[in-house]
Amino acid sequence: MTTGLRIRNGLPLYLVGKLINDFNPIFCRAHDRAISFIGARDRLAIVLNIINNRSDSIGSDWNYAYAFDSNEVKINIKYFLTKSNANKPMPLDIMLSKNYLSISNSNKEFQARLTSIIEDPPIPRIKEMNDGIAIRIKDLNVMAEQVNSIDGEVVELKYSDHRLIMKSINHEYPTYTVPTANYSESKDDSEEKITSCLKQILLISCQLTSELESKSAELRFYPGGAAQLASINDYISTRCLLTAVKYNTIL
Amino acid sequence: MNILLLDNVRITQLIKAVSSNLIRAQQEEKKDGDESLINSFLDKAGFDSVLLAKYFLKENDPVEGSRYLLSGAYSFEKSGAFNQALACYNKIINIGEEEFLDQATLGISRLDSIENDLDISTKEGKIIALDFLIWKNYGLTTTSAQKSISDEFNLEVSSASIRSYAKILEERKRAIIWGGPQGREYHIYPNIADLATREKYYGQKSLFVGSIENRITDQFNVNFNNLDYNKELFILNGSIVPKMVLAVDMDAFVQNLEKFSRPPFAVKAFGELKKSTDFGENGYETTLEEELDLVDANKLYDGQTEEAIYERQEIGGHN
Repeated sequence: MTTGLRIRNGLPLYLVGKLINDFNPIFCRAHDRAISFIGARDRLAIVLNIINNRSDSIGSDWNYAYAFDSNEVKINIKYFLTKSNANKPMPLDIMLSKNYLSISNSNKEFQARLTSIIEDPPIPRIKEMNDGIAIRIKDLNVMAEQVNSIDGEVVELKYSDHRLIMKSINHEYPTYTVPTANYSESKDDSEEKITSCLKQILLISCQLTSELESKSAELRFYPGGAAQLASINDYISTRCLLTAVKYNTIL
Repeated sequence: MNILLLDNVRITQLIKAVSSNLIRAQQEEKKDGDESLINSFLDKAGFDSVLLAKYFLKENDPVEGSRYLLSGAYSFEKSGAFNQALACYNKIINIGEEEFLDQATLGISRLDSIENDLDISTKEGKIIALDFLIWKNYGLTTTSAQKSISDEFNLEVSSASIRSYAKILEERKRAIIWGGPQGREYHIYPNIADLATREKYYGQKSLFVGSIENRITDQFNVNFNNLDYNKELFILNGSIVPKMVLAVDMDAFVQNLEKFSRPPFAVKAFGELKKSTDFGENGYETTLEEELDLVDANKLYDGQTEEAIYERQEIGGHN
């Protein structure tokens, strides 16, 4: 039986194209009315959800798992690696089968097949964070630029007095105040919160999440623990889980 | 195969094997037979006794369990497997059955000064000396074993002899080897998994050999307050009794996805021994019904080819 989903354009595949640069293989899970593309490695996991919320979807009763070779995906979705192509208002059909995904646009100008390298692979378990502190990031592009100019391997993120401060764990300067939308949500925002993560991983997360150009991007983090950068528009969401680098492993 | 799930037939076979190996050791001893052969019979009897003890303890029979532990301890003590004997005595004391306590305490006191009593003039004595040093240092390479034997016992042993002794210790389940043979060093580690109790070794790093079985990641809850790595969790079984949990870094999982997707597969895992409940410190809180020991793997080797399939990269070279 074949089932699938129709989405408004190729933007999700453009984002998958971004994932390819940093992860191999790319996992995919089609489950519970959504298709999720997942990149996972130590200290970083990125989940890209395509949400099935349109009435013209072909079907939603599915439960499939895939692991795609990133190099093959890159070749197959080359057309969508250009953002202008991805944003063309041309509906895209993603059809699901046991071992592969078929992708085509509505007038069949583009047709591709992504084949799983392993039948029904185990999908990394990426737990969603709740609670903690959530801070609205005003401009992820600015944050990405700030991260990029920080020296050292590990970046410290500190939330204090409703301000998000970012600097290298090894150097006092530069210290950045990340532009936020002056919004926070927490059960406990009375204390200062500090966490740390690998600079390269934070950068990947900011760059990928910024592609959604969403106004809802938020950073959620725990003291000494993991952080999550998440963003959503009306049919795509990204969630980057950044697991913490413990201070005592660095000093 | 897991002994704790075995039927009466297998239990009877094990009981017979213990008796048979003890008798064979005795017969060899009477005719002044090969000391290595005698000790290998004793070690077999010892490890089978420990398996039986684990079975009876699981069946809530602490008396029979302690009896087999004591039998195992005597076999091990006699064969020079002192750490295995010590683990048996410690387990007996931990169980607390009164009729066995004095004998266990006496056994421990005998083992206290064992280093001074080693007779290193024979081949078997040298094997026991190597065993002693492997456990003392929690692992040696061929080269470091040569140096260690020279420093501690004033004894020069060739690298070929070290490798030969290490193989004998591995066959007797006292040690686990990675590396070798063609010109490569042996890395020789104490076999902690098969002890009567692993309690003394929590927090210790060693090499564990087994078979990766089912994935149990879903039987752990993630608590983000202290998360160190993304992990995948598997049952490590095979010859290990009781079975253990193997915690695998996400990079290891992704780099060896095909293997992890199609268990079982043989693996050697170097890492820290923990209780699965203690793994909560790393953010993983177990929902397993039984409390299992866990290995947090820094390095993974293919159990068939000995090829290294993963090594954790420490940030900035620090642990």
